[in-house]
Amino acid sequence: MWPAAALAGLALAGLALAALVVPALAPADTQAIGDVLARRLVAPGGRDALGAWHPLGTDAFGRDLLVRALAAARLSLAVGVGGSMLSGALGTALGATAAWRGGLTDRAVTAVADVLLAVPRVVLLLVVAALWGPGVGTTVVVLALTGWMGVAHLVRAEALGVTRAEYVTAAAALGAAPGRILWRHVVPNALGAATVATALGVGNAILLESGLSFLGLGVQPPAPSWGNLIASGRDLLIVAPWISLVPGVLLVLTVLACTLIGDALQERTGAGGR
Amino acid sequence: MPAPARPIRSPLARLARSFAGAALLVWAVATLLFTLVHAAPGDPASFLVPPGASAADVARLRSELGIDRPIAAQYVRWMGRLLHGDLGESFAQRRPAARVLADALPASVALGLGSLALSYALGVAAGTWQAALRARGDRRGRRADAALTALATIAYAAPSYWLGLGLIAAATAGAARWDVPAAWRLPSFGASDPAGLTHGWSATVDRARHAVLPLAVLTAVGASGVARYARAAVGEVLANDFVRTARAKGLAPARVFVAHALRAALPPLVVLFALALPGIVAGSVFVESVFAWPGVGRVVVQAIGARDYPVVLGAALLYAVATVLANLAADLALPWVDPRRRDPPAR
Repeated sequence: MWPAAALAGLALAGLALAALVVPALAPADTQAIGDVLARRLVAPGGRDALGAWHPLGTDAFGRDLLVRALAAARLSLAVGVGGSMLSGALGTALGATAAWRGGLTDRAVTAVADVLLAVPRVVLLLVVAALWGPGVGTTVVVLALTGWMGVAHLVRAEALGVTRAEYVTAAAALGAAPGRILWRHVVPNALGAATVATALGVGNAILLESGLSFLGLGVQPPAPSWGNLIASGRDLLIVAPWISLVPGVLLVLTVLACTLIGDALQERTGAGGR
Repeated sequence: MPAPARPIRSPLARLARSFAGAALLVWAVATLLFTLVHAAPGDPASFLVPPGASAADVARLRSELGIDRPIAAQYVRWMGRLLHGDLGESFAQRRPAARVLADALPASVALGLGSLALSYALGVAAGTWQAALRARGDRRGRRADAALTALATIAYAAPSYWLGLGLIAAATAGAARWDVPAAWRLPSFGASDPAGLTHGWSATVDRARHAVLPLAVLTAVGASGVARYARAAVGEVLANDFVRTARAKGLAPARVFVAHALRAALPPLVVLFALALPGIVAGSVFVESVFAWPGVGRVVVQAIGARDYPVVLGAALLYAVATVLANLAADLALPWVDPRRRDPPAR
């Protein structure tokens, strides 16, 4: 498991680097449309009528797919990682607070989590995208607001265990303030589980974002995201299959890498649920 | 979930508590949806009126829709209607939203139940086999386990709509290029042939043929998730002492597997049933829109495009009810498959 995860981490780092560097070095703006007739639908590895080489081909508007797919990687990775880190932070805060305060706070957090878990995440995302209008901001916020429950559950359980530990009693006996105990003892102990759950959530968040964008409810064209790139190749599936294939392969490899890393972290720490 | 504060004595009380909890959850989801709609920016009346409508027209529509009343009154009215199964009128189709959803439901249920059954059968079989291979401990067993794990992990990582597009390409252009005989070609659009018969044997065959591709995608994604879970669950059980004891006392390996290992792995698999449902719902939204399958998922996506809020909210509520019911079913089935979860006998 471990070498596979190291390889996955390396691949993800490579992808992130390429996503940062390649679109910046590309001769043209990733969204600009140039000479459509001369450049459109070039097969991978081919040259267009103007002589430019396209390693992964071009789309229906003659834009280079390698550059577009890597520009999309920026957005997809940022939304996936940003959304799950936000939900991880929210879940850690809510779970630790619930366990620490107990009573009504605990019940309220658990009840809200139960309600949110009763609606499939995709459906919540669809409803909010429909009501607030699609966009990158909405997607990140909703991913964060619908993804914290698992992390909160784990952190709450860990924190409940820690509050009963003797060193916490000792710290309280030494006169440590509740805030200090929470911050210095409870949260660091629960952080392992929270990190694993957050890492496991990244792949899922990337998948959800791509799905929303595929349906036209996430990132809006001409801004590229893997989901809307795949959607843009839908009508040209037979003529130019590479338009949907290239972003799809990148997406699958990315989610695969995230899953492998999450699994390895989980195995190593022995912490965290699904 | 935390353990209940006080012990519950009779199974009947337990049942009542579960049902009350489920009803409370559905009510809370309905309230959440109501809040979301009313917190959202924009006035539904302003985009329902035709262009060039006067302010008086908008005001009349607002009072017709009841959205000019105080928010508390609207909430009470909405809840009252919900209790009667009234979800309001679809903006786009000008007929009850409940009707719109009810018309789409059978197609979704057929696809969902079919893929759930297939995912479970394939996933549990694959996961159990993998656990057995790994337990064997030799090199070939480990390799076969690793290969199956890789396959399941890749299928788990692939978005269902993308797999669907791949299958559509294979069933159309691919089938033409590879000279697949016409009888073997699978339709990749809709749930039935619009020019075909509506009943009889050939209509049944036609529907089954239309279901193959969407079912294949949903099952690939579902079964890979179930297999990952089943492998872990059965593997955990196989490492237990009682399995070794059963083997040591000379039971046939097959009997050890079925009577001891699978039996003990049943509870996590029952819990997985509740966990798997949202995934199938999510998959069905994408798969239905890719294959133009006339189910609830496709209706939702179309309703969002048309800003048809009553239908969107009704569908969200429907999904929530399905999820809550699945959880309830798993909750009630758990003591039945897992004696440790049974309440202590009443004193």
